[in-house]
Amino acid sequence: MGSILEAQQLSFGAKLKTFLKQNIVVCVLIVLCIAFAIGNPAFLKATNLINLTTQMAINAMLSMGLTYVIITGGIDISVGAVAALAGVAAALVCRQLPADVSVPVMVLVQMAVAVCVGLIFGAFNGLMITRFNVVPMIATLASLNIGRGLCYIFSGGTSVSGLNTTYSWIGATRLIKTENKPTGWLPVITIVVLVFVIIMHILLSKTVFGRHVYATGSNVNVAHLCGVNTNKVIFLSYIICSVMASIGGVLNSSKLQNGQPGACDGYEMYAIAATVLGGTSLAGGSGSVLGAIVGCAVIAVINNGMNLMHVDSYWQKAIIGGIILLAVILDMVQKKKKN
Amino acid sequence: MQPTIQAVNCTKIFPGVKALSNVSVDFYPGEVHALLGENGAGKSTLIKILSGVYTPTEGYVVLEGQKVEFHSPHDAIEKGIAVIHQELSIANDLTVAENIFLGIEPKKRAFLDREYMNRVAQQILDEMDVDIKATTIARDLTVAQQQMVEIARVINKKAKVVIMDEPTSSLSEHEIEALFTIIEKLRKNNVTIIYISHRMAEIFRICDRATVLRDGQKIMTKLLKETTEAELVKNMVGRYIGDYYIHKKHARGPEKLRVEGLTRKGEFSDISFTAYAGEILSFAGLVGSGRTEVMETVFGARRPDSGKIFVNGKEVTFKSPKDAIDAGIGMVTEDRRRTGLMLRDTVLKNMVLPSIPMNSLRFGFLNSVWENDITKKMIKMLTIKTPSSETIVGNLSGGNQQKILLARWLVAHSDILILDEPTRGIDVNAKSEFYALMNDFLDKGGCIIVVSSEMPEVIGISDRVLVMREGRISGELTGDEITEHNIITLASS
Repeated sequence: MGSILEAQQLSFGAKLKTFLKQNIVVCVLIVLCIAFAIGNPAFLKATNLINLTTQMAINAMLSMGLTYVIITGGIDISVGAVAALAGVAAALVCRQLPADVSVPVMVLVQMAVAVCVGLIFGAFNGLMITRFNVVPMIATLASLNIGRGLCYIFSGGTSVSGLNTTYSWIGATRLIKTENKPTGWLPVITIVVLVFVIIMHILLSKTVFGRHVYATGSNVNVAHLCGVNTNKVIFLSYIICSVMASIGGVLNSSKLQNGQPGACDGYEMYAIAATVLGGTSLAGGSGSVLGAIVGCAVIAVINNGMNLMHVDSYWQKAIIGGIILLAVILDMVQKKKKN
Repeated sequence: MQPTIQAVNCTKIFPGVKALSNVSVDFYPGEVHALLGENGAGKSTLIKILSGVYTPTEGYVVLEGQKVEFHSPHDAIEKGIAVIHQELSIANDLTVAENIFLGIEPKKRAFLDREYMNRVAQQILDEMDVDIKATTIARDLTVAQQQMVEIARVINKKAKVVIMDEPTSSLSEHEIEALFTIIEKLRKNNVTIIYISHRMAEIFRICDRATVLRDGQKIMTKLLKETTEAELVKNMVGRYIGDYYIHKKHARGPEKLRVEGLTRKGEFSDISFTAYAGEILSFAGLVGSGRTEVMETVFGARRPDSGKIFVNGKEVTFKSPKDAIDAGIGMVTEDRRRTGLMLRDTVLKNMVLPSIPMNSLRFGFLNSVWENDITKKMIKMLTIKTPSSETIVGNLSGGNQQKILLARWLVAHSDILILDEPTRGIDVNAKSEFYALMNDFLDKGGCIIVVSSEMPEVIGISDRVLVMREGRISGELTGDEITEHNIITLASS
């Protein structure tokens, strides 16, 4: 035992080393920022950095919810399709609203539609997984296809447009208008996402429910034998995931001022990548909302930086794939060393 | 005679920990050599060096007179060194024959020679005199049978050295006999067997020599004929331990738990018993006699087909373990690594898990002040050896892990404790400490139900013993009636 205590008393250098190892993604983010700043000084301009937050907003919503599901040891690949469906549904519903509808009413209706779509799909996924023991990958693959199918059925295959301008308030408006920036500085969408980050972070790290999410993913048998209603925890996690995805989808459709049936295509992969980059283990039991946000930032910075450096967009996708792979391998190597 | 395998001046240093220091041991052909020591004494490090998992920091391994360097476990296997781990490495979905030939499948041209495989596998099994069919799917076997399959695999590979790590920990008395017969056969074939166990009686029965390790150093190697259990234990723990089964007689208190006619088809039937405050009620019987299933049903993890459960005289129905926990029952399962602990989580998180809902703040917020205080208090009270409450439990020794599981239910204010194999795989010192803690719990008016396959434990600590056979209670023993003979008679016949 004495020897274990000794091992804990490490020098400052060793402590710094373990910190770097444990926060490798934060380091990657900083290095990327420096690299892009050197490549193009415009990268560090306030305007660009604020743009960055809007670019990562949708992915942040998706990956925050997904973090819960992945921590329970599951996976949800339907988030992209659910987001798109929520966007289409919100657009269809809001098209029925009178032309002079106020902003609060509009936002309320948009959120209500998002929550409805999220509840339905979350409940569907949760039920399939907890009640019928369908493997999460397959259950959510089914809802991915159902969701995407419904997008095209409801929209008739075309973009739902002709929407009131207030529709785009939550997704595209900026507050604090100044003379040299008449469009405004502070994007509403950034505030919205920030509020959700705080709520989701607190729910996961400071509440009994959050602790039960970790316990379920860490060892479902142990959690059950310690009185955790693991099925309920898993069910609620899928609900949270789908609701977050739906709100993300509505924000996206608000940003674009229409409801596109093909929106958010492949976003589930970005969300999974961000979550895993942020240190959430696909085996369940560990991870964090803030980590997922850092993961989103890494992906957004890479995209943004490459845009500024005029990297061909087809190449961008391939490069992102490579970088994700690299980060995950690095992470695995660290974990292996620990064992 | 030339030793089969030798560890020569082996030292292994991990960052911050010297796990083994300058240890030399010779193992001879045809000997069963016991490796003894408390958890953390360096037994597993030595085994891992001998089987190629670790490379020693200093020193080397000599195999049949030749200095060897293993680059991987596979290397060691090729050279005839086999390890049978506590956790079995059986592929559940393959047949027995396929398991025996795993990694060395015979081929006929490009195809698997299934016929040859089945024939040879059956031959080995028959020679071992075990009743297992080579074509059975491994999943359908009992744990004991699976272990036999692992031994068959070792025989098939013609291993020169077989290392057995706690081979009897999940076997019943009857199955242990079968295992010993096979060990005898291996010994006659001049195989070297390195045998690790915490059970002294076994060691004296089948081993020839014993090496004791403590704190990474070799303390002694002696012929068992020339030593005593007391001497071995003294060398293991560094001091004399008298009778380590602590059993204080308590006044029997009021009835805590009563079970009437509990039945689950195919598992157990018509189980009735009453457990009182201040007593240890033990369930003895063979592995597979349904004891664990009964306990899991009482704890709400399984639903009974029929029967009634009363807690403090009131009838209860448990839909899930949560209901049982709320009624004051706590259960420590037999497999702490799989169903007891969240191994990658901290001491704190493991200890408070069942109790956080009742101790939360408003709106379901965690009470982190309470969590920290109660964890520190428990670490002190149960003398749990851990650097801090934030240490990952997977890094602690078995004895300390078991204490954390006990602490979990003390935190939850349980007054009925079900302990399934409470001291499996923990060393003598930790056992004796654990029994003392059980007595403290009884002092405070608690009630303990123990399921144990370790005969000396059952005899040493119980006030009353219920023996189960094939899903039924076959008899009750109290006081002087609690003897090995009576228990075995009721458990088998």
